[in-house]
Amino acid sequence: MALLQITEPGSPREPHSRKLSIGIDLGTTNSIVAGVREGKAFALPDLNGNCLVPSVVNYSETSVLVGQPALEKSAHDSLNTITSVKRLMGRALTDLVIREGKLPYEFLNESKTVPRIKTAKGLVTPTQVSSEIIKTLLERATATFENEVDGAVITVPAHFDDSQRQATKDAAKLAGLNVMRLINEPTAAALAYGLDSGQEGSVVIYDLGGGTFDVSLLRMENGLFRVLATGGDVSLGGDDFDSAICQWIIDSFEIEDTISSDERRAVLLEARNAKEKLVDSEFEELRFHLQGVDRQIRLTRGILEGLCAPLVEKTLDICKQVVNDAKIQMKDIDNVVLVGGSTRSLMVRKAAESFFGKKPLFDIDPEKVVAIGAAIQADLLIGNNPDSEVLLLDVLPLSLGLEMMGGLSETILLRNTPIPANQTREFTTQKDGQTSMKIHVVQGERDMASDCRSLAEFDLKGIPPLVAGAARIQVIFQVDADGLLSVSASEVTSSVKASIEVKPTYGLTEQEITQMLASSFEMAEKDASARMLAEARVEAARVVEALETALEKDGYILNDEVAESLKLGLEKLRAISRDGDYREINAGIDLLGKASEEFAALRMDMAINKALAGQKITEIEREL
Amino acid sequence: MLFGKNYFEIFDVAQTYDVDQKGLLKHYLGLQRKFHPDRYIASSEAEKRMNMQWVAEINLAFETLSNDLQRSIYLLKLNGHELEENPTLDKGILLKQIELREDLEEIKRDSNYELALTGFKKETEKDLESLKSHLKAAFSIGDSEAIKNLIYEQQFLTKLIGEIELFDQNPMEID
Repeated sequence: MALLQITEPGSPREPHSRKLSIGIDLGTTNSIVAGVREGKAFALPDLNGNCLVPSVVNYSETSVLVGQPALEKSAHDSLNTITSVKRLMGRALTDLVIREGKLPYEFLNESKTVPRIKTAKGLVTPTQVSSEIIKTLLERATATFENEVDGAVITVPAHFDDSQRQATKDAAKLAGLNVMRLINEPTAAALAYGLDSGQEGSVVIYDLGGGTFDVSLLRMENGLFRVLATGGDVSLGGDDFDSAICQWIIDSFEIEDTISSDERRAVLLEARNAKEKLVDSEFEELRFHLQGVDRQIRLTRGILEGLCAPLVEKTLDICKQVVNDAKIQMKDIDNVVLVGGSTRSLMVRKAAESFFGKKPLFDIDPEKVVAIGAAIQADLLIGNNPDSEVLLLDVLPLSLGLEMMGGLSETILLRNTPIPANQTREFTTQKDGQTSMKIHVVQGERDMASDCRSLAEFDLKGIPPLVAGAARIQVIFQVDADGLLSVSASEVTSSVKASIEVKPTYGLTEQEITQMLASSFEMAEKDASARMLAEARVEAARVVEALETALEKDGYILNDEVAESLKLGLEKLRAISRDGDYREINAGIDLLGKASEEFAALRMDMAINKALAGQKITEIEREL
Repeated sequence: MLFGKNYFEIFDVAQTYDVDQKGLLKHYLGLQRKFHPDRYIASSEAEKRMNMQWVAEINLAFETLSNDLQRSIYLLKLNGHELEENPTLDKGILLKQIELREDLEEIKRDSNYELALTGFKKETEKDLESLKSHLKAAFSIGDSEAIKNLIYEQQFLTKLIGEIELFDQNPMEID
């Protein structure tokens, strides 16, 4: 055994102790959890061999059902059975009514931001519903590997906006899962497909799921997966095909005005069944018992294709835009990969083939490929393959901007900018003596801010009263590697600095999440604080380990005084973590974090200079 | 300038307008392999924050230098000059711009616009490409007035191409 193990930042300290990580594809219709065993990623089946967990949650007074058992309740208990919750994530109630039309649930009317659904078990938010699905997937992983899960990667549609991403992350947090990274679904698919097939070049991932559509154009070479452009629609998917068929059936029977919510759900389920069968057959006879009457109707493949054609056409328009944004020619695309359950449809395959002029590939099960990619990435991130060359470089899916005078949106970060990203803009005051300014952050491609998605709104106060145009308001947009945004604003001419961090308007607050954790249905107050204590301890151990490694390696750059005080800080945190409660531990973590900031900056500088010097050396070597 | 490096220094490429794009990409990807936040998952929060700043800077630097227009504006700034908000343009250039705009409007009105639009886009792209050699020359002798005028033209043509593409994607929504 080596006496002193020197590791690079980011790589694990003990490569032989494998950690357990999972990948989760939280789908609109079905969810999947995948893991890695002996270097091979696979989707985890239940006892019957099914990998797909229907994304359905049923609430009754005494229990919460998830998956197949919940789906079975769907047709006769529609109010308490939440399906396609993904469509509700990170959205305001008003927003949902506009986007999704009539929803088969009862909402609490006064909920202005986060929608609250009335169920037999009480009010639930979409984030809570989603966390129930994550819990079920987590249980499956724990049972399969007979071990606790250390970390996870969760996939989201590339076109999820900031609040939808935040809501997904919150759901994982509620389920007690440590999310190392959110990655985009098409990127995850590219990873699984690329590593599996060893193909290189420019690849289009056409991902049509139950509720969302994404298309990404990537460049794959030497283990590097670089997204050049991405496009999509978060409310376009197989569900819309089902709804179109369902509506056609209802219209044909002329029962629009009289059909009940349970009956509508039953017709919808039958519509989906028929759609799936029509992949192999030419027509299906559908039989219903509605409003006391037996009814029958024939759905042919031709009718189906007619109903779906406008939706498929919409996906192709988006493909065109992505090829354009990527600034490459159609002929330079080497492969087209189909992902998502809805690409089983013959019509979709044919459309993709004729649009790109290439036979699309769907070698890996299009329903599992995203989860498998997520599992591969999770295994990498947790540090099980320190020598791997694989790296995902992704982009911002939707432009981010600010509302200007007159309601126009001014873009600060353009869509398809590589993330993480930073952008600073300066603005000034309009009136003499103006002491506050409204900052309204929006996301989307439209010219008018009101047509874009409103992410956050806040007032920058404490601007020194100056003549119009003299103040300098600096607004900083920062998007992290998960695609999550934070915005801060300050006035720079004066020593008075006002600054604020933004949380999405339609998200839950940190407090609400903590409260939900504490009052979570099956968790008593005691268990909740026990878990928070456990989590704080794990985090403290992580912080201690990271700082120790850093000190071991680079401690010599500090003067003795600073080094001593950091070591002292380490000991202190260790002691608090043994004896303190979770609040004390978290405070200790913050304190040590602040104390080590200067050291972190010095190390970063050193690493940068080393890397830049390295560039020069490789240059020289190449020239020799 | 964060981390004490300008964008050219970050990628160790010569500080000229006709930057070596292949070398730029190679160094960019090399730095990503080393510094991407995925490589810093196990680091302390302070280091993660620092790392994110740096990688965001690498990304911004790459975006700036690989984009013809952004690169010229950036290089002008490094040379100590700024663009004016409402510049007085040369009369000849102004007339040419008005003409090009009218040409585009005319194409848009035609129901069979597609062929003409493609041709118009190609022409505009050619004009834009030819600006690059002029810019290179102007930068090498450091003629800041000439550089500025070329950038104003570059700005106009880049915006025009944006409009062509927008119309090509959504011919209906524009009218």
